[in-house]
Amino acid sequence: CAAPTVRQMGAAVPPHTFQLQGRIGVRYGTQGFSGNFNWRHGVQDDEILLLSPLGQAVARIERDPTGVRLDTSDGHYAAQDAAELTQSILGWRLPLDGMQYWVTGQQAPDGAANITRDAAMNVIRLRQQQWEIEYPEYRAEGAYVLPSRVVMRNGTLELKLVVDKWTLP
Amino acid sequence: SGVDSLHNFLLHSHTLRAQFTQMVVDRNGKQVQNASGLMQFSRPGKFRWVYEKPYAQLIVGDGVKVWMFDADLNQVTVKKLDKALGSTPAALLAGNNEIERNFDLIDGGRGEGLEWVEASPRTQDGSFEKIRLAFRDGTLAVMELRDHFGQTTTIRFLQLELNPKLAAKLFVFTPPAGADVVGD
Repeated sequence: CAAPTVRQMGAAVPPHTFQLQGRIGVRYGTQGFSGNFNWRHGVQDDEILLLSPLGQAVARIERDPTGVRLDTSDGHYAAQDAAELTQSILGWRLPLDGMQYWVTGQQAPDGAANITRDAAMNVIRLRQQQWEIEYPEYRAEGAYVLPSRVVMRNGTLELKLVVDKWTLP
Repeated sequence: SGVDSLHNFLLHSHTLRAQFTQMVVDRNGKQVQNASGLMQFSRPGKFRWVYEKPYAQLIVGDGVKVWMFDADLNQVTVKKLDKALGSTPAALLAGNNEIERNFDLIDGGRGEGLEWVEASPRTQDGSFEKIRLAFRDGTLAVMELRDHFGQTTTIRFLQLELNPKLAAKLFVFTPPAGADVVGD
């Protein structure tokens, strides 16, 4: 997944691989979920754990070049696309393809993007692939400046992500 | 034995208050979370589980529903108590006899002054594969939870008070103004 070489003045281009520990709040209409969110993003593979506050994994999503697998306490599922799979099994879409870029404040390489930046050149709003993403908060992480809060909206679905810890290469 | 300690504990603990530390280790043995807070319960079905560190999260069982509030996300997730039983050990501790009804109990041995009991859920739909509880001199000391993905949560209870007087309002939850409320 080649990241675009968008030069952000000041901050280095965010890394292609990362680990993220945080919390996710999902809301779609009156339904939703909230819990801990651990994400290991590699060059070719991803592992995401959705956890309850007490640390129990509610779901695990694994992606590699062969496809996407979703495991929950009552079943194992597979598909080609994470968003489709999470929509059908969990009831809400996790746009993993775009999110691997959006979560570090970058646009995804495919699809036109409408970007609004702040004075420090950090992206504060990004519209791409029917998603509207807002970045209310950033934090310095070594050579990088990375979002510590991300809000992603698509129709009636809202995903709020609070990043407690970035682990970068 | 561990099973006797559990029965006595359930029989004699109408209310309870304790500090707790919580550590979560993933299937590769890597520590993925370290949290702490205050836990209180009032049988049956009422509990208040407050995470103070590393961030503010609150889980309240009011006897009918379980309310989970994350301050940073400003979101409240509500579940019916019976549906939450499988996923909220606090509900088990504060339950009537859920742990005896829904779990097979066997002695888990003794070590370092602790008597263990192992509870395996009779139905596999909860999020736990196994729960282990440890008692020191008949008092709850440790709760260990293993899920279906090899994650293990170890909760240690400290400064435990048995049958303290607890105000009823501790077990009532009103969503803060402006918070998103989701669930049933």
